[in-house]
Amino acid sequence: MDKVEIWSGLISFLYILYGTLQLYNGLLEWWFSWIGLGAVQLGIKLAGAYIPNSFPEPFSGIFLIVIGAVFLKAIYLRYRGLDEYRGFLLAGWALAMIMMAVNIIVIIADILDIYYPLLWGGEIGEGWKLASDAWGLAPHLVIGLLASPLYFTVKDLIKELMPGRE
Amino acid sequence: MSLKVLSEKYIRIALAGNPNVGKSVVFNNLTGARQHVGNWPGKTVDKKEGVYKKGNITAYIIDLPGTYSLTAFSEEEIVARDYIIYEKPDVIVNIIDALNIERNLYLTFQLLEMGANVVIALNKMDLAEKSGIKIDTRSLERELGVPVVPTVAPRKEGMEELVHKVVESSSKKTSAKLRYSPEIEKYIERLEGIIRSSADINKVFNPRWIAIKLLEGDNDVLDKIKGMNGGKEIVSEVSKIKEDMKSELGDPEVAIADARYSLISSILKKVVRGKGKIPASDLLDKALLDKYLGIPIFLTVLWAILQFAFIGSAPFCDFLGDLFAFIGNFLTGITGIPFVDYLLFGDYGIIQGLGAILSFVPLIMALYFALSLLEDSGYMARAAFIMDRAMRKVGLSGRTIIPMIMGIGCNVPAVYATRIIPDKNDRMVAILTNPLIMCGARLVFFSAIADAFFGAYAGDVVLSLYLLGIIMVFVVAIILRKTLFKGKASPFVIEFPVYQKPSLKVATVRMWDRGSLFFKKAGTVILIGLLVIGVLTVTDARTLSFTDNPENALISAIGKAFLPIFAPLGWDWRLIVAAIFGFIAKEIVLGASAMLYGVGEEEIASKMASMYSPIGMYGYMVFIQLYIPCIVTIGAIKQETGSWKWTIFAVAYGIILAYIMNFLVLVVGHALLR
Amino acid sequence: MPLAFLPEGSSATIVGIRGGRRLVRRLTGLGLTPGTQVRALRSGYGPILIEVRGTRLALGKGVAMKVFVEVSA
Repeated sequence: MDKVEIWSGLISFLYILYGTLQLYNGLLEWWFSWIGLGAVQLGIKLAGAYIPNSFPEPFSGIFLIVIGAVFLKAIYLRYRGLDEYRGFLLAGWALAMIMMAVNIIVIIADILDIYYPLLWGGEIGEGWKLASDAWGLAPHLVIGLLASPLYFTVKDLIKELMPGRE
Repeated sequence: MSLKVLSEKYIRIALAGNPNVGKSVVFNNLTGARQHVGNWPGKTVDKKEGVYKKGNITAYIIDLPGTYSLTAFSEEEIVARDYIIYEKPDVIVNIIDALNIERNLYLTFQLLEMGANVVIALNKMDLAEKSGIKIDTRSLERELGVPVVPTVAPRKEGMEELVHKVVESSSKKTSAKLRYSPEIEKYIERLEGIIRSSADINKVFNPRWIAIKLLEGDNDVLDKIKGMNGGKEIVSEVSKIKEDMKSELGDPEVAIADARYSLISSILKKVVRGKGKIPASDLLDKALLDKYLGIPIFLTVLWAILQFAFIGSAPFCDFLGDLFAFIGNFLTGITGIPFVDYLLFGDYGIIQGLGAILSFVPLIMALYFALSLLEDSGYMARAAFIMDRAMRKVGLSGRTIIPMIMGIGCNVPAVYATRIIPDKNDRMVAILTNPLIMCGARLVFFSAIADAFFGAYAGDVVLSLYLLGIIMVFVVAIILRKTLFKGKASPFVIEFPVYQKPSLKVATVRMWDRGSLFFKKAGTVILIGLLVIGVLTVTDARTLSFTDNPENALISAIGKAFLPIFAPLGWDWRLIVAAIFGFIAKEIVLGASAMLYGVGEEEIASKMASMYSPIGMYGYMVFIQLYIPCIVTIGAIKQETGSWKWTIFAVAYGIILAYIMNFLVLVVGHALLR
Repeated sequence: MPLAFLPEGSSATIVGIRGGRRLVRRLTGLGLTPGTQVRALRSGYGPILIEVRGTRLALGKGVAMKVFVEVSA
């Protein structure tokens, strides 16, 4: 097992872990709130919010698990010495980047949504706080950041795919 | 010092080429902001035109629809070739993909057959180079007899030279002729000779092109010729010649196609070195088309797009909504006539209504943006491929998935998006079923109501309505396929373009184009609708004077008139009226309801909760979800189907389906409660 | 045999297309003519992916059943 495999393995594990947490929390809140169990969070508490914030949403969870599965398959194929792993690694990395971008856009949008009344001297209710944002620094962002260095591994494939373009 | 008079040069250029070759990028490069997207009259094909201006050169550029060929079988092809024949542009810039040069030249040859004045832009040269394909551009120029300009459109390389060559060529009338093999040429020339003797036909059309088309059995050309002087004689000659051809070469159509491809092959042998594999694309495809992960990956991408579109556009939507509210409040009382004032600027007046609808434009734009990126990158084709098998089972083509996705934001752009479905029947089914998908407007209404009625289960209720919509799409599709649009879904053939970096510029341009189109359309249509309903709401039924109590107004009289029909569903006149409002735009249902119950929008949910039972409300929500598309969607349907018959059908079946489902909900619900 | 049954990775030559004129024309414009070499990139249930004249095309099962090929030696 080399660097790439270990790191991808870690990423894969994290996606599946946090995906499951989101799924669990989501199901709990949406359907099984009568059980009375509280949401489960696994993260560092900072400024009143968890990092990463496993906000309760089953679909988000499912899709994080999917990304984890893609990385898993990549590792498996690489371990078996099959060249095909490169496609899966690139796919996983691309999905991770997309999710990270969405998270960032969501945060920006939420901030804009709260502060835009300032444009005409309106009042704002509560300001934006990391804790109050539904998404916050979700796994999409956090694990995405962790996955970004894999760019150097997939860089060659990207160059092959779209030669000469950045 | 010498005086040089720079003459103004004005040229008309048409861009032609296969889909996915980068035509839009070239178009954008040349026209920049000076472009406009419209419609070809009577057709559901985009018309993109623009202007290039530099120095003393002004060029009017039209971007013809991407086509693989110029037969008469698809609207895109007919639009393209009719433009070339009748409008006779000065120069046709044929954009060719260096990676698919063999197939691309098939169209080129047909352009040359038409006698068009062609300049070739050999695009994606960078990709070809890196793939190990070497193309000798000068040699290709010699073989084809037309200027060939290597380009890398995204980097704007070659654009200057392209314009230069175009200007150079504009003084020519036509490109050199390309000759096929002697066996075939003898038949073509034989027919050509006969056609030349018909003065009228000779004037309008290129005889060689007519000859080739008639031998191919092109019905469109046949029709065009028959009606002209000398046409009938030509037609009888054609069958004779075709007979002779058949006995020597076999089916004339096949023979001609073969002739083209064999000439292409022989030219390319001299001009192209290196095979050029693109294994990288294949590698990525192995992952994205994986048997088990393919669909999950697709759903993930979908989800990401929807999150981006909804949440990302939210601040802009809210901003627009507030803006209109502000304008409304600001202008209140300005006319001094209470009637007009209330109608226009009141809390539920025209301005507010308009604002409610227009506040959707950012959402639509965000969707178009994301979809443009998806299509540009090449993933869209893969997505259609993956979904095709599943969609086939309900008689929908794989490409239908895209309008269905867009429908989640707004049905209007979704209906327009059905243009990507080539087959007419497939497209009709896609258009007719699309409104069943819950759009953003309905989501707003349902979310608000669900909270009050169903508490913790609110999310479930909304989800169930979403699913209901999707299930109904499948059900209706199957029914339509079995009855009105018999036959299997059409042949599914899609080109997998090489993956490439999607252009943010193109996406932005598209987003803006589409968004403003919707803005203008919706603005006008909805304005009129709002005006009508607005008047009905403030005109007292008995005295025909102003009233601010909707219960006394004409609108409630209308609502009450429909009461007997809706009584079995347990509705009262207010629900009927709200539904009528929803005809204008689903977004209004909430505001309208608020007005009808005399409460603010925040309290409407709880007020309604106190008046109706959860089951009754759920039934009502089912009705709203399924009934008729909002008026802008109806407009889009009319435009895309081109017929009132189908538009009315869409409306009618929607109401009937909605009624039945609402009723079923009540029946089942009461049965379960017992 | 129909193109639909061409095993993944193998090449074949098109011998004929059994379909209406519309289909034949459409496929011709895309490069699928008798005598042309095709290679199956992905087959299995549902649509298949082939390489022809340097381009990748995806064909639905229905279409793939109408294109007849002969496997190259």
